[in-house]
Amino acid sequence: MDAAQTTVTPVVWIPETVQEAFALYQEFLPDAEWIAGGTWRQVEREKGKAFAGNVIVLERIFGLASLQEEEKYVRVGACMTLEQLIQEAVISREILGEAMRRIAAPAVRTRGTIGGNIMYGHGDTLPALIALQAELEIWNGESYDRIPVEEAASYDGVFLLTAVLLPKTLEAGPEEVHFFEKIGRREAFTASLLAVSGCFCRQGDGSVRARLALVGGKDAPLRLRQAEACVAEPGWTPEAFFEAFAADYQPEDEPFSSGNYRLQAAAHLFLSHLWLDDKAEKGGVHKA
Amino acid sequence: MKQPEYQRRPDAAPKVTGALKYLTDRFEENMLIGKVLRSEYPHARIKKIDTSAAEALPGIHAVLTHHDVPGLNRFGIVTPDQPVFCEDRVRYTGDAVAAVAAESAEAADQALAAVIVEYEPLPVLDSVEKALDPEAELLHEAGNILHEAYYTRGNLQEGFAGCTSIVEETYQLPRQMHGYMETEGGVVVPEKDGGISVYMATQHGFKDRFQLSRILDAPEEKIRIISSPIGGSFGGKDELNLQPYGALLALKAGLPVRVHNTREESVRAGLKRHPMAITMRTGADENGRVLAHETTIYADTGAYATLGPAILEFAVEHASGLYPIPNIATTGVSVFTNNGVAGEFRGFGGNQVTFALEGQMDRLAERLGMEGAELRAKNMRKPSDAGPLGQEIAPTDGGRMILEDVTAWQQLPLSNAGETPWVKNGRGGAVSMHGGGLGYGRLDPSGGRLALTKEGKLEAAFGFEECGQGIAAVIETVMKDTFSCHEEDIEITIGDTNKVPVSGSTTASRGTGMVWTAVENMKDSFRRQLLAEASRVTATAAADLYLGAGGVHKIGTEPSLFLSYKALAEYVQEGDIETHTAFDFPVTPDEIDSGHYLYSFGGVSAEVEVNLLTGTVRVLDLKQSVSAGPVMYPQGYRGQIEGGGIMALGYTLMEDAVMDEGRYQTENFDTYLMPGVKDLPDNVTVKPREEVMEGDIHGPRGVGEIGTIAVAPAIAEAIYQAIGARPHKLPVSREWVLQQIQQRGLLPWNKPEKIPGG
Repeated sequence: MDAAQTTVTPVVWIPETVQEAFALYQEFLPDAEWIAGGTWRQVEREKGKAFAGNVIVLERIFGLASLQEEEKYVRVGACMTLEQLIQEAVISREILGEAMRRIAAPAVRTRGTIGGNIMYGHGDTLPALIALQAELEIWNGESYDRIPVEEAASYDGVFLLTAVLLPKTLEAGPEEVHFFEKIGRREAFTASLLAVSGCFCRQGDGSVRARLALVGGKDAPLRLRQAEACVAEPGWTPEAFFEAFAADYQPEDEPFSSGNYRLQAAAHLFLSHLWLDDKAEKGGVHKA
Repeated sequence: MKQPEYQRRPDAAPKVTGALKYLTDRFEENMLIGKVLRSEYPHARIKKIDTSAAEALPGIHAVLTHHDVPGLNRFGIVTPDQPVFCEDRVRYTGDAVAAVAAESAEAADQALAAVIVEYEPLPVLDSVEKALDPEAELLHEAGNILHEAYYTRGNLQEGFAGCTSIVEETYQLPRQMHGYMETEGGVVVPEKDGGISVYMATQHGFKDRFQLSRILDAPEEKIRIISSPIGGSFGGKDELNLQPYGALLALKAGLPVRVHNTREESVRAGLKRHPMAITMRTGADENGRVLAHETTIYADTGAYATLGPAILEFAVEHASGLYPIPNIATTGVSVFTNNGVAGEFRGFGGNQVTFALEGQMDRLAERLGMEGAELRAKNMRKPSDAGPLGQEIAPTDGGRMILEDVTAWQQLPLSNAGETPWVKNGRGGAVSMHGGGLGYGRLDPSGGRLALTKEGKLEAAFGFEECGQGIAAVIETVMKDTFSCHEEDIEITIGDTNKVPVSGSTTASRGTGMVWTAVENMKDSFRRQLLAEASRVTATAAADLYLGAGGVHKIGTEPSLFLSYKALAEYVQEGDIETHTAFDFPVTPDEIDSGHYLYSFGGVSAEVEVNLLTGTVRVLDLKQSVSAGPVMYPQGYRGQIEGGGIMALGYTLMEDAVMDEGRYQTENFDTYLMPGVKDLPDNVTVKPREEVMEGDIHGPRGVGEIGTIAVAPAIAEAIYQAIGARPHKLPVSREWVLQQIQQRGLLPWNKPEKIPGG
């Protein structure tokens, strides 16, 4: 820990509009950062990553902490806390709710926001949002824009996330299967080694129309387009899936999980949903 | 008197309401903040230390280095080899180089940053292999081997010659962290007489006093250690930690100084469980009689000794556990490295070696085509058998009793067989034997004091510490049992060297037994004194009086309370009614160094659920049978066994303080993971087997450690039963489990040759 760093007290700005927050950020760059719940930044700070000289708090901005149901989508303000959203039936019943219930612990979920979970880059909500075809509403300094979640990391230029737009057309049902699964290093209150999610619809010919996504360790969230294309073929096989999936996803080794482990485990998790097989192992004792 | 299963422990209310002030919460007027500068390198020469800039900063009252230690610049309970402040060399990143006392934490941080230390990095010996390389730099004058320990009996070669089945395996055990909630620290107050009061947690106040007196070059009487209550220890606060720095800074500054490790500092400087590599070769004849057992233990003890030698000896002693195998050769080597210091930790070397031993029994049973329980029963010790080092021990049938329970539990149906896809369940069992007390040849005194205070309380004074384990509740229960009094009649005095008698350390599962024995020793005299005084002041025949709730009662009167303790206290001077006892922890009469005399036994049955997709292992059911004599305080007993079981579950499945080139990679609880509530088994059973042999006079054995010992091998066997692969390395990683699942083709699409990288 750099002792000197942690004792610097930043200037805290509390803007009331998106535009003001953006202007402050631009004014003080590079010595500025936005903060919402601050739960992740608290962990980083403990590890020695000091706050910027100007911390711009987003939680007082009007409209960022509310949820509105529009005709085609639900607009979720970026500063809504995970716990607030878990309490919303429209969110809670979907895999996004499941993803949020699996994040950290109650104290963190009470402070942490969906915007923060998205913008820190590896949040567990990301694969669920990608699978659900969510879009991000952003302010880029001049206008509001809408971008797919998976394009946030590659967006050209600075933006402030203002809301998540969750399509209402996509409801899980008998035909439409949604799933979210997370592996951490223990059952709860753990950063994920891997979070996988998918929305799919099985076709009559054995093919599967699917949107598949994952986030793992320090990897950026990934939409699995080759794996999706693979299962869209009638007669696809697990072997073909593994091959396509490995082309999508080449995870690297990290201190607490190897890339190979994340690759294998993710493939198994996807297949457990996509592959219909009456030979699935049903518990029981191993017989040598 | 049988105790109810649940009763409120004396420290419960202040703990659960948060009202309790721990020693690290203490505040003194004009108190300074002390901080310690620790080494930047795991191994380096110190070329220069310059504190002048730090001293010149505002608000700084003291800056100390090795030049400022008036006495011995070393600490270590048995062998003082750890520098208080390093002079010319650092051997791990927890080594202290300087310390400051300042008016604020910020000023202290700035002063630490201003201390200039020039290092010349040296090759980092971050493994036992590197440290034992003949070319390796010597970490200590006597070399890189801290200690070697051996035990042999019979003839190993002949033993193996008679075996039809032999199994061999090397077991790898991780560096577990105690993970107490309260990190090390407290306040040191300089007193008017030139002495100091040290308000800091320890497991042995008098030992801290001794060590500090050696460092400060001050008489022990000038040092008062106030050491309870403690927010968890598990062995980790047995050795000195921040006491020397707090004491030296307070004396230099002439003001009270608070020192308190951050979690990161605690991880870096604190003790851990010894990582060990244990190779065992074990053989049996065709009837399943184990004839030969060879063990080699390499322990990574880190940079300094603390109790490393004793822990190694404990592991060597317990290498054959409950099985009186005729031919044994055990070798233990404890090796200095530039890793974090390993030392005292609940189980004390028994956890590591029992994982290996019980793993051998399961492997051997499979080779013989036998159930594990059957092989264990065939080889189980008899009540009159000698101890594992051939020493005479207190006769006990504990091993048979706990194995009986484990064997029965193995027959229970699996909880969700055939219901959930993608999981396989398995159940495993294991047993253990654990010596209490410090062992033959080691000073292991105990004692206590009972007195009537001037306020009319029955004071029970012991030199034990309350670190959450419940010794205060044990003392209260034993007192209530013995004198038929109420809890409000009792005053417990612990954790202050100025007020308590010598009772020895609060370690080695010894507290409960020593409290019981002390009260047994004192009860007749104390009762007699109370009744005699009551008889005198009331002019009533002592024979008509007896002790009960609130005071002295009289036969045949209603209400029977005749003279309250409060009233009695008014008639006597303080000290008039007081009795003492001093004795040693029972040891074997045989002159066998480190050999124990009193043993407890623990049997474990674990059911796991293995997720075939991810390799995740969940423990669904954890049952423990414990033979440790009569239960004193049922709730505390249960707490120790359940808590110990969960600690061991963490050891088995997730805990490892990973080091890379002598630096911790797990600096806080975000990366060093311990079980959370969702990792706990759905079902936990604790079954005390209280029976002791006829004529046994030793009362309760402590249960602070036994619940942690046999859990890992039981879970490992359960994993084997689920997926057919035997873990030999802890923690059992999800990655390893998944590899085994894939290699065995346990998933329908899981043909190993078809999986990229599989």
